[in-house]
Amino acid sequence: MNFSFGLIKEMAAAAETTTEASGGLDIYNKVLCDDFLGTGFRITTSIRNTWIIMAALILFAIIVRIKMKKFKAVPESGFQNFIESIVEAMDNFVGSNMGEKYKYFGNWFFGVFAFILLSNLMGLLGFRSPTADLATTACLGFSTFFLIHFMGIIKGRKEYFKGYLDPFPFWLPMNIISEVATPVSLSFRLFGNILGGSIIMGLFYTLPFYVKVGIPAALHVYFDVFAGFLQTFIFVMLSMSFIADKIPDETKN
Amino acid sequence: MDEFILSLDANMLKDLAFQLLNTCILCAVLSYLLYKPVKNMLAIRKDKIEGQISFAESQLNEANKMKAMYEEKLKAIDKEKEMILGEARNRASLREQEIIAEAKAEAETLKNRAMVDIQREQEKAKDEIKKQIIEVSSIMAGKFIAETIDQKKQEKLVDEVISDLGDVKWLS
Repeated sequence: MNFSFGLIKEMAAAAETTTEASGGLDIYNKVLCDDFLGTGFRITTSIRNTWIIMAALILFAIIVRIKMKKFKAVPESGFQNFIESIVEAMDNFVGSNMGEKYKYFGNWFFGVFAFILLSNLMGLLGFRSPTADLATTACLGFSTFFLIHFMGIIKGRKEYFKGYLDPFPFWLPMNIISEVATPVSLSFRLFGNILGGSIIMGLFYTLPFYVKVGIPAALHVYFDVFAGFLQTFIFVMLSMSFIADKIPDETKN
Repeated sequence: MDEFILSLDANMLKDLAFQLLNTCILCAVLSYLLYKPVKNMLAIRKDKIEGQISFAESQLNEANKMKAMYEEKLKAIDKEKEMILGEARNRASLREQEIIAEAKAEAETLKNRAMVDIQREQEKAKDEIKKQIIEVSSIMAGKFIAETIDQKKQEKLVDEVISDLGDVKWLS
C-alpha cells in the first residue's frame, strides 16, 4: 500500500519531472534491486546510502585504530584531540543522561549518533538521506523501544509492571498507548524533519538557475546542518532519557 | 524502477529488518574499532595521571617532611655551633689568661734572677771596694810608718785618704 500524500505527492512529482533535467535532488526512495542475493530483501536508495555511510564510518574507525598506535599520552595531533573529544563527549553525554553505571550504552549510542548525523548531513553531498526513509527511522525507534523495555524488565521487573498501573489500574490502556507512542513519535519526528527538508531542497532545485546561486547554501545550512544536528541530538537524547526512565534510580550510580 | 516516499507494507518491514541489521553491524564495528579502544585508552591514561598526581603529592609531602626535619637539624646545628664557639671562646680566654699568667711568672723569674745577679754584682763590688780600702789602708799605714810626720802632714794624709775613699763611695 503506497500512501499518496496529496500535495506532497504532487510537489514530488513536479520535482521529479525536472530532477533529471536540472540535476537536482532525488526526493523519491528508489528500489534498486528487488531480491538481494536471493534473500528476498530489496535494496533501496536508503539501504545503498546506509552502506555508503557504513563504509565511510568503518573506514574511519579502521584509520583511527591504526593511528591509535601512534597516540601519545600528551595529545599532540589534532586528529587525536578530535577522536578523544568525540569519544569523551559521548561518554559524558551518556553518563549525564543515564548514570555512571550505564555508560556502556555509549557503545550503542555512539554508532547511532554517528549514523544519524552522517545520514542527515548526506543531503549536502546530493545523496538522499537514509533517515528520510521511515524504514530507517523506525528501525532506530524500534531499537530504542526494545532497549527501553529490555532494561525495564531486567533492571526493575516489579517497578516496570507496576508502572503500567500508575496512577490507577484502569489507566493501563493509556499507559500501553503511551509506550507504543514513544518509538512511533521518535521515528516519525526524525523521518518527518529530514524528509521535509529534502523535499523542500528538491523543490528548490527545480527553480530557474538564477535563484539557485547562493540561496541553496543557506537552505542546506538550515535543513541539513542545523536540523540534521538538532534531530540527531534530539533522537539520541530522548532515547537515552526513555531508557533511563525505566531503570530504577538506585541502580544508576 | 519502483519509487516511493512512504510505503507501509511488508517490504517496509523487510527494509526495517535490513536497516536494523545494518545499524547493529555499524554500531558493533564502531564500538569495537573506535569507541571502546579510545575509551580504554582514556581510562588508562586517566588512571596513570591520577597515579602520577597522587605519587607527586606523596613525594611532595615526604619532601616537606624532610625539609622540616632538615630545618630542625639545621637549628640544632646552629645551637651546637653557638655552643662550640662559646666553649672555644671560653677556652681561648682561659688560655689567654694562662699564657699571660705564665708570661708574668716567667718575667717574675727573670726579674728575680736579674735581681740576684745585681745582688751578686753588688757583693762583688763591695768585696772589691773592701779590697781597695784595705790596699789603701795598708798603703797609708806604710806611708805613716815610712815617714815621721808632723801633725799637719798627718791631717793632710788623712784628708787625702778620705777623699780617695770618697771617690769610690758610690760603689757601696
